Amino acid sequence: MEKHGWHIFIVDDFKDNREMYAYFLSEQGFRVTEAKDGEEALAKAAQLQPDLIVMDLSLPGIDGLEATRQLKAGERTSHIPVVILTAYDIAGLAPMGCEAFLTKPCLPDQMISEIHRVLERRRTGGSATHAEVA
Amino acid sequence: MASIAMLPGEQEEKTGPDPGRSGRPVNILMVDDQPAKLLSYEAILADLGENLLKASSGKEALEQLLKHQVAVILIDVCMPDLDGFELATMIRSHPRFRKTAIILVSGVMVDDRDRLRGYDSGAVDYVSVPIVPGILRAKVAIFAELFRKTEELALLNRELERRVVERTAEMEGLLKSTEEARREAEKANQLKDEFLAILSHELRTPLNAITGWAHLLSNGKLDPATHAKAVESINRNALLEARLVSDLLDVSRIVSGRLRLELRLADLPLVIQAALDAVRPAAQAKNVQLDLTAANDVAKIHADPTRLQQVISNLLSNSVKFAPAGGKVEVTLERSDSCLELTVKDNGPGISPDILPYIFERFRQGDTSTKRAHKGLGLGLAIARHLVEMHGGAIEARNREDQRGAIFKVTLPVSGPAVPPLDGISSDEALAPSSTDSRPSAFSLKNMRILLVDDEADAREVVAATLEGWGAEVMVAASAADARDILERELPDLLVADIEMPGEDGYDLIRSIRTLPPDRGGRTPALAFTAYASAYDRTRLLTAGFDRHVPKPVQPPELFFVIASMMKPALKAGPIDLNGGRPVTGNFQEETEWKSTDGTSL
Repeated sequence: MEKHGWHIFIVDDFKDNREMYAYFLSEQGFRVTEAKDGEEALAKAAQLQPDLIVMDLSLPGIDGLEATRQLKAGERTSHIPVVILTAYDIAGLAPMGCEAFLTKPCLPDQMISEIHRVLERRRTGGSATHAEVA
Repeated sequence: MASIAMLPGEQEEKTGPDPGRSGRPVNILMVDDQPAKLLSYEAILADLGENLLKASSGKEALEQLLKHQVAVILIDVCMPDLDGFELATMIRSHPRFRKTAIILVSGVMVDDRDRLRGYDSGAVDYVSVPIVPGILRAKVAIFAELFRKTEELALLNRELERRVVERTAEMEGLLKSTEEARREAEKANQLKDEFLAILSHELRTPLNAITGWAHLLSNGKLDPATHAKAVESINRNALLEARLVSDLLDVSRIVSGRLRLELRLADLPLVIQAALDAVRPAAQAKNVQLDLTAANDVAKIHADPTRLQQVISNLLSNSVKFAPAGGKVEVTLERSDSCLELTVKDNGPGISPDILPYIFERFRQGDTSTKRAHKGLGLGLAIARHLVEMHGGAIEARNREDQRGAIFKVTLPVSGPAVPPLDGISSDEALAPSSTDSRPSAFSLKNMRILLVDDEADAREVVAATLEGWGAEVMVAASAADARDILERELPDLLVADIEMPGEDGYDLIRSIRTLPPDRGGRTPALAFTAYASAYDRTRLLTAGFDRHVPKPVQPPELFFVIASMMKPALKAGPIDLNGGRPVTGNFQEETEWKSTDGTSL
């Protein structure tokens, strides 16, 4: 795998899942930042400007839906693609401004290919705003 | 002034009351200033069989009118003081007598002006002198009959109105209860949907960690530290998954009545220790302190230790879950009369008042949105409640008075081991009294009146003896019809009914009982006792109107606990004494190896 250096946020309150994805994404050449709830995700996203956020829905405090809404409304964060990753049945959740959905259980390979798909589309679509492609 | 003329052929025939007359006699008021004439009217009208009232002046007539309901008033026009016309006018001006028939008897020449004056004042008829008895009698009879018919009609009308009101109320009640039932069903359905959504979420979350790490393991490129972490994570999540499934199965068993207790003499402090050990890793992960305080006189109790440990573990993990990091969970075990009280306190946020009433219900969780800060199916407390109730105990939740944390309290009866083993009901060996054991039985249904229905005499006697052994007053019936008679007459506290009976069976019996009003036993708590114990049978029994179901064969303690848990509301209010009011003596303490100290910190 090419060392592209993309920076991914993993937002999940369930440590075992968060660590598993974080480990695999690092192995695959991504830079990874973990956040365990919505507040942390919002604060870090504005500051660190990741290339993509993988967002769990069921979170304490500000949940994944609300965090996504705020990211998409924020001046400094609206350009960051969000991939929702949830164990809920997400059939009814489509119109919420995120770029993609993944349902748990989701193998790390599936997640990587979805991340690549979203980031590639962003780059070729001309409207890509992520800056630090190594 | 008027005189009575007896025309030839008008000789009175004593015919008795008019045979064409219907109904009760009515009052006829005769008003004349001359007693002789009153007597003549009386003679003429006697045969009508009505009640004849007499008045010799207008004043007297008014007095009579106020005292009696009068159908016809016969008034002599020529009277001193108040003449007939004036009297008739006065009577008519009173709203009550506006429609009362008045017959004016006029002794003077009746010209048109007089007649007109009569009708103006509202009189309905006119009899001239000399009176022809047949005509007077016929007129009075017609008015009396008219009065009677009018009364009957009014009565029928009132009855009809009453029935319409009654029926309308019935329909409204029916509509309301149908609407309520529909709303309840919708609510239950919604709760079930929410529960299924949470269930899928809770099952998928650990599954995600398991499949993810397993996938990475199978790639074989993990360094030793990550490898160990992966295996640990898989194990932990597999256990979590297993616990979810086991909770689900427990709920399924509870719903279908297949959850059984294995009762033996259990050392409650040891059970608590085991539960504390089970939650310790979770507590340590959050740096939550676990404290146990056990009183010195706590006893061994009759219980299913595995299930009790599950109850305590569920309460503890709930409290650990809600305690803040670095917080504290306190467990207290103490003796209160003939009960043991186990209290679990945390210093978390407490229970929201919206949720408090439902906290022990299945499929209810504090929050069903994606904001749920706390994981799990929310089945733990519901399972705990069922298990405690199966033990004849009670569980309650409240917030600390300073609003800093929740308190869960479990009360368990201290049950001695002296349950008589009985033929026909499988006996639990562990419950047989030991020869040296002279403690009184703590299984008591003293003051309870139980109606037992079973067509088989042997089975009936065994159960009756068991119930009587616990101090209950038992009434027996061999058929549904007998049972219904006794129930309505005696209003027992509880009905225990066999289902398989020839002719009218247990289903027919309970359905007919549930149609009775409450004061005739329609709401009597009912327990079905049957060899048919599938989930389908159970659902049918509960739908038909039974409150609980115990499959045959039953162990006496289980029967006792089910009855005890059914009688709980009555226990609080009434005189039924589940423990016989007898304190269990101190042998327990000598037997137990439990060394308890106040404020033991674990």
